[in-house]
Parts: sequence; structure tokens; C-alpha cells
Amino acid sequence: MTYKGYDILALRFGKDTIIYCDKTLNPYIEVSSDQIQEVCIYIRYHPELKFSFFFSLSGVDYPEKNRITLVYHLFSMKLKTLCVLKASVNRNHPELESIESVWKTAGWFEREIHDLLGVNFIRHSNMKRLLLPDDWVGYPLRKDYKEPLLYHDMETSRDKPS
Amino acid sequence: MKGNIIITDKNTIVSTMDDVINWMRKSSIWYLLFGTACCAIELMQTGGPRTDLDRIGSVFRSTPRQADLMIVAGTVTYKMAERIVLLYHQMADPKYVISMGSCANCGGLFQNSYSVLKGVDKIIPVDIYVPGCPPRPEALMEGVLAIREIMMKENYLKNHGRRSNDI
Ligand code: SF4
Repeated sequence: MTYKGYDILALRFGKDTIIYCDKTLNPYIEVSSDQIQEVCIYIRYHPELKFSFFFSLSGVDYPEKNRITLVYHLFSMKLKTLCVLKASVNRNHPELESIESVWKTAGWFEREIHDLLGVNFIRHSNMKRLLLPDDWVGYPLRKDYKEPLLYHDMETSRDKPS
Repeated sequence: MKGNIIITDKNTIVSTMDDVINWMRKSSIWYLLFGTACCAIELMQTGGPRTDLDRIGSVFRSTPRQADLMIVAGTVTYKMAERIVLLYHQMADPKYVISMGSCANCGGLFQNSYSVLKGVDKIIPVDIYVPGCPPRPEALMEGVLAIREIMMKENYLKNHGRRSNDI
């Protein structure tokens, strides 16, 4: 995202909650998790930003920090630039506002992250598992996930040939 | 067919019933139209003009009730595994299974995955394993030809239409 775009955001939300990080290869903006919906609405509809295209939403598990970070990739057809937002939530109670109402397609990504990392998105229209069976136990993309020995009486491991 | 008596001037072949039944069965192996991952693309190729499964009488059926052969083509997830067992039980006896590709054989490159069954032989009996990722159409053809050989050794009449277990 251009620095100008960040200025507009910082002007509205304050430099303490919206932190710009350009030390990494791709600069990103860190947003506090309770403000994510407001920031998204603002960034999408502001006449000078217009980040109308939602690329992807992914989740990263950091067990050592006890956080789960959500990474939002947005694109603006007006500025022709990519914007990366990051919000992190507590790993024990991962909960934040759904942005399905801003970009409809984000709902699918949120369901996937709910499925694999166990993040709960508040006010999502259908917060269920997306890919795994409904009776699955645990969240497989969390780093401390242990595979059970059996799933519905099927073995989950196979002996390596000697 | 071994042991057949051919009477040329009468246009007649004398054979056993089992041999004739086996010959008819092997010349019309109908397989279940069913693919679980990328191996299915190669399964389609096998039905295509170059390898042409049709020429040995193998055509796909979209319902398990009409199928003799199940080709498990691709990665089997736990979610899919339950459906595969269901389909397998819906097929009429005698039935055969080819496990196609490393994924169906042993989990393949998804060996350490949380959601993939490590080999379809954990849930259904498998007759022929075709290795490869994906196996070439020729390899699958070889597998089907091997099934034909197995079929020729069966005694369906004696076993009331079921497969003998010693093969
Ligand atoms: S064996 Fe290879 S080609 Fe076949 S389903 Fe697995 S990954 Fe795909």
C-alpha cells in the first residue's frame, strides 16, 4: 500500500492502532482485532482508497506468542496497489468480527480458517466447518495438533516398508 | 482357453461352463465412473483413443450396481473413504478393485497429512496396485489386463457367482 493510503487510514484511526511496518519484504499494516471491521469498511468505501477487491484471508499460528494472526490481502483498482492487513487474536479465545458484510467472498475464507485454525468469526452468517467432516475433533493447522490413532475406525497411520 | 476342443468342420468349440462365463466376464469389465483426485485425469486418458480401454470391452458405468470393477483413482480423504466403502458395498458380486497411484496405494505424498487415508486397502480389499504418480495410461491398462487374468482363474459356478478366496 502506498504511504499516502496509510496516511488516510492513520488520520481516521490514529497512529497507535494502525501500525505501518515496512521492515519485511512486503509492507503490511497492523490493525487491532476489534477494529478490523471498521477499518475494512473504511478502506473499501473511502473515495481515494477503494480497496474493492478481496484477494485472500489466511491465518498463521504462533504458539510461542500465544497468538493467531489473520492476514488480509486487498487490492485497489483505483490505486493499483496491494494492501496487507494483519490482525492478531488470542490463541485461547480466538474471536473477531467477520468481514463478510464488507466483501461477501471473505465468508468462505473465514469458514476455512474456522475449520483449520479454530478462529471464531462473530456475526458470520454460517460459521460451520467448511472442508473437514462436522464431527472432526481439533484444528489441524494449529502447530500443536496431534493426529488421533483412529478416525471412524480407520487407522490414520501406515507402517513404512522395511 | 486351455483344454478346449475345437471341432473345425462343425464350427464348434467344446469348453467348460466356467471358462465360457469367465471369458464373457473378462470381455466386458465395466468400471465405476469415479475419480478422487488427479489420477482420474489419467483414468480418463486411458479411456481415450490412444490406450482405449473400450477395445477390451471396458466401459464406465455411473452406478455401482452395474459395475464389476472399482478403480480408486486418486487421493482418498477420510471424508471420501466412507463414501468409497458405501459404493463398494453397493457393487454386485463378483467385484474387483484396482488401487491406482501412490495416493490410493499408501497415501503417497500425503503420508503425513491429517485428512488423507494412508492407503485404500485399509478400508476395502484391493486386487491390483498400480504404482506411479500418476500412473501412465499404459500402466493402468496393464492393471486391467491383470484383472482379466485373475478373472480367468475363477470358478463362479462352483462358488455361486462369488469370487473364490484363494486367488
Ligand atoms: S498419486 Fe499423484 S497423480 Fe495420483 S492422485 Fe496422488 S498426487 Fe495425484
